[in-house]
Amino acid sequence: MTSGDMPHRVATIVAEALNVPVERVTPSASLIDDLGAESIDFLDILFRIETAFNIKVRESELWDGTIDRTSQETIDASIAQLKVRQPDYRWDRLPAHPAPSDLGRLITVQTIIQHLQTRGVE
Amino acid sequence: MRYDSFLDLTGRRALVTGGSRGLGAVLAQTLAAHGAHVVINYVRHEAEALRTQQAIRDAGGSADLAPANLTKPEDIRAMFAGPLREGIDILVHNAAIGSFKPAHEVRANQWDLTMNVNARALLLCVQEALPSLAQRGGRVVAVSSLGGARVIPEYGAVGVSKAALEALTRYLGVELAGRGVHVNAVAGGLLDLPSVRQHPGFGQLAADTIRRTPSHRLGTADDIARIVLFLCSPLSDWMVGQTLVADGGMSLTV
Ligand SMILES: NC(=O)c1ccc[n+]([C@@H]2O[C@H](COP(=O)([O-])OP(=O)(O)OC[C@H]3O[C@@H](n4cnc5c(N)ncnc54)[C@H](OP(=O)(O)O)[C@@H]3O)[C@@H](O)[C@H]2O)c1
Repeated sequence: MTSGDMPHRVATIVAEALNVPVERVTPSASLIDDLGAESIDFLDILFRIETAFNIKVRESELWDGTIDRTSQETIDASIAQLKVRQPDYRWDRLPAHPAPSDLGRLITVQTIIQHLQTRGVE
Repeated sequence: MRYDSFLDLTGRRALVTGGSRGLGAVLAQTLAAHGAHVVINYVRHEAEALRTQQAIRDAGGSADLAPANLTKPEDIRAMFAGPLREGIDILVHNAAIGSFKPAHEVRANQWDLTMNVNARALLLCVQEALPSLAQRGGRVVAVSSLGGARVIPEYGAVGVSKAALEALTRYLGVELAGRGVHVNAVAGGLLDLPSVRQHPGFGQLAADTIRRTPSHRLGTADDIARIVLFLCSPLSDWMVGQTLVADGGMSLTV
């Protein structure tokens, strides 16, 4: 693997973990809504990412990184920012004011890619 | 003859996998309270591992940490080459993971992950620890659950992995008995643990379990810890490859 192909490697990892065709693993695909991930799969993907990129990843940083869960206001504000960054996500599927239990559905392939970028992985 | 001294583990080094929290933390504390130097393995919850270590030290015991992802053979090797390089006398394999769903819906990756943590990790840890275990009359205890021999709803992959764990316990028990290594397991019923209480269906599950349990209560971590202590001591010397069921009698009723 050459440097710079991290997004493709992430897509392959997610496809292998969830046993879905890699073409379905687009950056805006929600791991839960589009790819059928269940809670144990998040751990599986995390372990695979750690092995593939030889890094330690804190779960909270990877999955919650972009959402401030303090209150409904902070959740709404975080989501407004996310909408700008991820216009391709199917926002119509989420309620207008998502509850904390909805937030997992916001985790996309791009969420993983962005986290790895902040860690300097290319 | 009095056997009190058999429960003194002073001078013994014990690895407790998944010792950071839940049942594993109580097992680690119990072995430490009986004199063992305990090494706490965990993978993600460092704060909990540190808290358990501190609780052991506060009680006058001795404990180290050994983070390692038990799904990875290279992590297990590194753990034995690093924090455990002095070898161990006792291995308690308590770490476990699961996807709570029916067996017929378990996916390949979920099966692999569950099997690797719950069952394969015992094999790999025993392989790494064998030189020291064999030299020092070692004890290996696997923590299983009723789902290994019975069918628990929504317990698919975990139950199958526990069956594998109990089978592995029998094989290792027989293969290693001649080398002075004692391998046994304990299978618990539903335990009253903070992590279990967090599950949305806990209230109903607990009520059903208590209703079906002749002893009329849930098991506690301490109930299991006493049995693990017994299996770590020479009191259980004549047991080889057995799985002790500890469930207040629930699995005996129809
Ligand atoms: N709870 C019950 O009602 C019950 C009943 C019968 C038997 N049991 C058995 O008792 C044992 C403990 O159960 P519990 O409810 O206390 O579990 P828990 O609260 O979920 O804790 C699991 C432990 O395993 C560790 N672990 C998980 N995956 C790991 C990995 N890949 N590498 C290293 N460590 C890993 C965790 O480490 P981190 O803290 O780092 O995540 C944690 O210490 C299990 O074997 C379970 O099957 C439980």
